[in-house]
Amino acid sequence: MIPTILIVEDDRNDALFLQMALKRVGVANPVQIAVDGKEAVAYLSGSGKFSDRNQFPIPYLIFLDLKLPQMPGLEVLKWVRERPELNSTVVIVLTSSSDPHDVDAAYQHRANAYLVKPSGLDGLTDLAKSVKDFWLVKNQLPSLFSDMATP
Amino acid sequence: MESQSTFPAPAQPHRDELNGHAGTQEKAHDEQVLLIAPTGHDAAAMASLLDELNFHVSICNDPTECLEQIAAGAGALVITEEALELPGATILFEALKEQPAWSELPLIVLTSGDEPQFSRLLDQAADSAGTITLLERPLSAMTLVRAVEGALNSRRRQYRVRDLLEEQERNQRALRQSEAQFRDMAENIGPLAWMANPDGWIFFYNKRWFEYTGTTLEEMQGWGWEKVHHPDHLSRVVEKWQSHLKSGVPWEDTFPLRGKDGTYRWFLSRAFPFHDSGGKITRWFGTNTDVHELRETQDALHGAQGKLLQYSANLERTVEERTAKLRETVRELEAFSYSIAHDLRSPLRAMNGYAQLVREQCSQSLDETSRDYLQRISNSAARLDTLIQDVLSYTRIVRAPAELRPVDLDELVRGIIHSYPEFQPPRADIEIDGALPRVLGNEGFLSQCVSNLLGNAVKFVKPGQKPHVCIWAHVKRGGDVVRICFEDNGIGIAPENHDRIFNMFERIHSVDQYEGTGIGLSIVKKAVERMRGRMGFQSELGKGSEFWIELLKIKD
Repeated sequence: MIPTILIVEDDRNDALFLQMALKRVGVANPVQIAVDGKEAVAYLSGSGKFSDRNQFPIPYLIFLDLKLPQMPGLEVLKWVRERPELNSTVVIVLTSSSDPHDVDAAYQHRANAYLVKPSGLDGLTDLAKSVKDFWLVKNQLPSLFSDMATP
Repeated sequence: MESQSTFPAPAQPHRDELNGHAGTQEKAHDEQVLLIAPTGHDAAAMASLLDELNFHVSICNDPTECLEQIAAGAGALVITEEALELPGATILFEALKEQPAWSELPLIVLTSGDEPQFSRLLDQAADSAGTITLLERPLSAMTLVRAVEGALNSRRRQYRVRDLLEEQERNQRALRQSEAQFRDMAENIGPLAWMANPDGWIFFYNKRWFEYTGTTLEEMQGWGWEKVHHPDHLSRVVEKWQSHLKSGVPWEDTFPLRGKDGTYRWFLSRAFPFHDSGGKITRWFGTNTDVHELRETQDALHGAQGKLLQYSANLERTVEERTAKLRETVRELEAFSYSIAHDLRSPLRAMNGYAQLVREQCSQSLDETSRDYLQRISNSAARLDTLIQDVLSYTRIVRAPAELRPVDLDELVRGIIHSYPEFQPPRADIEIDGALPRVLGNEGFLSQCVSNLLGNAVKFVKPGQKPHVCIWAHVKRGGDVVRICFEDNGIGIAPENHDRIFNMFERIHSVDQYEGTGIGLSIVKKAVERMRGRMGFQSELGKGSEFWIELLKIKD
């Protein structure tokens, strides 16, 4: 099994564009989508329909939008960082806001990175490439995920 | 009658013996001794004798002559029995009856010894004279002298009485004058004034009292003044006044009095007691001073103070409310901006993204025009997105707390140049001339300013020209302010546009010529304002521009 990528995004368009961008740069990892914070937490805790870890494995990489209905992205982040079993999971905040306050808040809640959604597909593709090169190729994966190879 | 010699032959008394009496006496008119001895040489002899002993002597040939002397002042009258028979004597005695009460001119009568005749004459004299000394002739010089002395002593006592009476009269006059002055003063001073007996019975009011109250003494005397007191205050005033009458302590009270027009005015009243030499109170002297205006002013002042406090409290409340409202508005604005960041931009991302996808995935089935249209959709969306981001930057600068701290400009500028490829060769030549100082500013704001200014400098060049920017700083006169200059070789700004370039969304060129949102310089201007600096520029069309920012220098 290759490590899973979880996209937490309520905007269907943005989720679609990100998936396309990842595919374009050759990311073949399975991608799961959570449409709001509650669903993200349900997925990560393996509750309800997500209890089957074969179908819904723990992700190595999470793209987290901040502006989510029901449960804001920062709260999800906080929740994630309270769980030792998720210590190996990389959380990249991907959001429209470039406000320094939001950036600082994300880091305070121990995000691994903060990316601002660009307006065009090209920009998004460029970002996807950087993410792939660094986090999926160069970065040494934790053992939890490392017996999985990336294609 | 045969005149007998007054003096027998024996020798004159020794002068020294008699000097003890005569020497200490003044030779005053008051003490002149009048001699009436018209017959014989007695007068001359007596006069000579008395004169030698320093008595002041005047000889009168006739009793009526004496009257003049007596009017001028006489100490004693020596008259012979014979002279008493003269018609002038009657006139003299009539005149003597008119002496003032204190005066009793001593008479010394020299008799012949004939009793019956003498007693008749004496009766005549007795009415008018007080002290009559009878000396029977012949008499010795000593006898005469002693008699005269006695008479003069008596006279002197009378003069003392006269003087005392005169002094008393003077004192009385002075006292009356003093009283009159006092009354005058009491009548004419400004305040109302009055005087009372020790029991409080008022016997005098000055004219001010009557002028103000429109009353008469008959109405007011005694305790009549109660009539012009305000019923609400009368009992307390009377109580206090009576207690002071009893204790003798000076009295003070404030109360309303009714004027002749029927309205009441407030008076500050005081009274103090006069004491006699034994310490007993003889009378009270009191005044009432009109303090109505003062009181009204004080009341108004208190009222005003009260109002002021109230307004002040209201104001504080209002300020608090407004501040709270303002904070709320700012919060709403923040929330609004936040929403804009996400909600406005996401449809744009969709527009842009799908337009691009269609162009890419349907490129086979699309003609040039269609592809072009799709491109324009993408471009517009991208442009709007940039605009939104610029507006967001602006609002952030407006509402963010501008904490000013020392900023290393050199580091900041170099950092920005290194961050953007468009600021580096081969795309642009940006050099820093000399060292850039440390300034008092906000790092975030300054980054924004520098990137915007440099961004403009490299953007607005003639097509095909490589942008060249020179950055340097110099300290202004005084040493506190430093000016940082950004000089470029760009297209410059025409004079008619010099005012326009700082306006929001204002662009000189079309998007086709030079892209941009028209917000960049507004952001720089706002940021500099919030850092309490100044900014400006010099520019000539076709000759490039020099933009500058002035900030406080940090002392090394």
